[in-house]
Amino acid sequence: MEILMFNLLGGLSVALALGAIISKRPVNSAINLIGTMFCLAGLFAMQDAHLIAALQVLVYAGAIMALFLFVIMLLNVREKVGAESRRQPYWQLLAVVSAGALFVPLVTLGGGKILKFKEAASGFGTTAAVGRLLYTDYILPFEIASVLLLAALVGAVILTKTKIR
Amino acid sequence: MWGLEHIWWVPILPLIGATINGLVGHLLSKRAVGVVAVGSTGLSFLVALAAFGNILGLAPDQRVYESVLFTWIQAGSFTAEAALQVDPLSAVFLMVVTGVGFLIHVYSVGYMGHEAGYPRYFAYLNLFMFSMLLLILGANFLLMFIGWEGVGLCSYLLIGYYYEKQSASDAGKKAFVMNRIGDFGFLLAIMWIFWTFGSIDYTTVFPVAHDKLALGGLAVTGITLLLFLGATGKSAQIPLYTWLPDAMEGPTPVSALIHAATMVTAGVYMVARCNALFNLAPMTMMIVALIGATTAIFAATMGLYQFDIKRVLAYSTVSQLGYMFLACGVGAYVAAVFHVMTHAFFKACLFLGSGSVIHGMSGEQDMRQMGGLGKKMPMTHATFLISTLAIAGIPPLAGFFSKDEILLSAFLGHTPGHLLYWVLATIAAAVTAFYMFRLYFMTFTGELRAEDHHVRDHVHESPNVMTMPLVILAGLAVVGGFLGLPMIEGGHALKNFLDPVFAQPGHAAGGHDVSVGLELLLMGVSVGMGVLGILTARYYYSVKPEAAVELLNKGGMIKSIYTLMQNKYYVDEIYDALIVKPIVAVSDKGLWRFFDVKVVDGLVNFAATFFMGLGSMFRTAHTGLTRSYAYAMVFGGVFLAGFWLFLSSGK
Amino acid sequence: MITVNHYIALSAVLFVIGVVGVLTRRNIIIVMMSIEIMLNAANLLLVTFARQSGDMTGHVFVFMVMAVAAAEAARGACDHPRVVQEPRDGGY
Repeated sequence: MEILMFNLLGGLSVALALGAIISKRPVNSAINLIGTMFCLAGLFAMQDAHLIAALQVLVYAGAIMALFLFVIMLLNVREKVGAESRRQPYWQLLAVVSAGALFVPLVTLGGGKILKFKEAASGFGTTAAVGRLLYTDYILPFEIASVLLLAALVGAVILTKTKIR
Repeated sequence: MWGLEHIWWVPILPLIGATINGLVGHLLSKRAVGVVAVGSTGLSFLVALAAFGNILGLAPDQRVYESVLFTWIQAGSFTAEAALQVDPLSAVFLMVVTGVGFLIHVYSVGYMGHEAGYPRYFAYLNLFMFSMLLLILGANFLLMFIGWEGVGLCSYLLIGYYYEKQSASDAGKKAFVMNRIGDFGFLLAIMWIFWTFGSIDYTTVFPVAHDKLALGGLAVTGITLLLFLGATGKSAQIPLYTWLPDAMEGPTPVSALIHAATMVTAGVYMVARCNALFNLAPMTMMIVALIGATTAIFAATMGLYQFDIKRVLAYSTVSQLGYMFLACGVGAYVAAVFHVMTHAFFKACLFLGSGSVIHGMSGEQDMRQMGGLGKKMPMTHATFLISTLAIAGIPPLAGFFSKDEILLSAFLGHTPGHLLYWVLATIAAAVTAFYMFRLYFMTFTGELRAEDHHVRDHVHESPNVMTMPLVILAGLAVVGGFLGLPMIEGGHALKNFLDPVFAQPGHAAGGHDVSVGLELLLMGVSVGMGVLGILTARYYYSVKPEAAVELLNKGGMIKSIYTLMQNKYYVDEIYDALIVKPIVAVSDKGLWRFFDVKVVDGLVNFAATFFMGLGSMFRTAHTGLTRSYAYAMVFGGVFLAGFWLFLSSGK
Repeated sequence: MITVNHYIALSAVLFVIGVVGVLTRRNIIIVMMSIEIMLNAANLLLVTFARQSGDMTGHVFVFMVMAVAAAEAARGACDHPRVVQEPRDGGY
């Protein structure tokens, strides 16, 4: 069951991610990416990261990707077909090769050993547990993150407003 | 004990005066500036007087008072405290400095009345008082050094007081540089003392000097020679004396205070203060005595044919300082301090008198323009005559007693060659009498020789504010000598007072065993020499002035000696050729044109061009294309990850 | 049996896909989405190791990454030149 779920979600997420970077139209990319986010949310849930899984759906798939879609559809951003990709196969080859070179050390992160999961403690990854951590030990980073979001909010308003008469 | 406990106020009061006059003096009226300057010095004098009274009230062996204000520097084993020390030696200097200083401040009010920069003058003068008092009251070598540097600075500032005059600012610089040479020696000596004793406090160093240092050893000889180098700079001894005659560019009260009465005697004070060290170094003592005697005769002969009234006095000062060092060199510290005191009285009086003359002559300093001033300036004349007699060594004036004591000490001294020194000093006494009376006759007798009728009509006696200090100083020059009556048991009050400072383990504190007959004989000789000098001067400059001209016109030896002396033995020229010119040449050709231009500038330029080239090499990497940066990032990531892989696979 | 290594491999694949996307695509929106893929790959690893070590600090990290990603998306969206220069419906 677990293996099945992993293969399904993992394979789907890889396929959708590939689709996201390959597809010509940004809208398709965004839709593919939303799919990837959902798959990852499932994978998070499989690892008892319940709160994170929920946030993945709400924040990433919901808010962030909705923002992307909003921008794309509002502005009708469209990649000119063949404008870049056909012209520079040399760059693409280089990109794939270098990415592959990056892949090798990444895959071996485990150090060649088989690392098995232990049984999770009860309450691991629940909203209550992570929330307690966020509001005690990590209250300062949490507040800083809120300031960061506020800054982004203000920045977005300033950047868009000043140029519009 | 009111007085000793407030000893801090003695230097601080002039400092306050200097601060007020220096910062806001230009906003005050001249009267207020004068009140601040004279008042601060006067109060300081009163405190000093009280402290002196306290010291007199103590038992002779307890006359050391130390007052620690705060710990100034503490670094490792090095400690320097801001502490003042009053003992008989510093008490004598204290009285001379504050007393004479006060009188000269009063005099300055009158003398400098018409000058621009009046507050500046008094700020410097008060600052000088502060530094000088710190020098003599400091309880360790470092404080003495601070004062030492401070008086040097003020001397520089005051010599260059008329800074718009090229010769004055040059003279200031000369004094400063010459003093720096001496200061360098002094500083090295302080370091050596710390190295040897682990302390720079007088009370720590001197009592153990006898045990720690071998008699005539390398350390003590080196320390004392370096100290003496400092003294030669400050007290204008051979070979560093040339700045003092040039220092006469400063205002006359400055010459009186700094370059006659107080600062130049700092060297004598320092040698006397370090007597514990000097007594252990016979070789240094010999050098001190030799240099003192040589300077005495050498400077006296240079003073013979000067025509500038202040320059004569300047050479006379150098010569008299030579006497003091001669006394130190033969171990007669009491005589040296005695002479410092009497010299301060009569030389300050002479300088102030000459200032009065210059004032009356509308700024003229050339004696060939003077003459016959005695009738027009009676007060100046009388006081000047008394002081001239004093310096010539005529009894019973102050100069007689102190000079006679030095001559006696030299005659009886233990230092090798002391008889030679005695002969030199005795001849110098005759020469001194001659040139001082030449000065006197040329200035005050005969007919006024000034051609400018404005000057002739304007000759007048100085105001009371200037003549009163003259009278007081002349009075001191008369009675000052009685502090050190010879021959009478217990008559030498100064000696009794100072002996605790100079009494050394292993040395008898008592005086010389000398028969009254010999002493009287020596007195007779020195008085005879003085009278001889006076009579010669009278013959050539008063009775028969044309005789001197005739003598010169005969030419030959006398003419060439005259030229040699008038040109001050060409010492300035010799220094110029031997030291200044080579330094200028090396600096110009070597340091500037080669080292600075080629090496220093070359290095800087090389650094600039090198990194410019390096930059142009790397400039190509900055394409401005986002993608190329992204690639660079990925390659960096690949490299880092690969490196990590390589490291972990090695385990 | 699913091990940590599986997740590492999956994360590596996703990350490399993101890298390729950043390097090959020119459209800024797609480049940003590729960056999101990379961030998600990292998040996956964080969650995995948090689970393996039983320490929820990894979850907190993921939370922070999401906050940063949100800020970045907001800022990036309005940084797009056509957003600021050509508002289509003249709205706002």
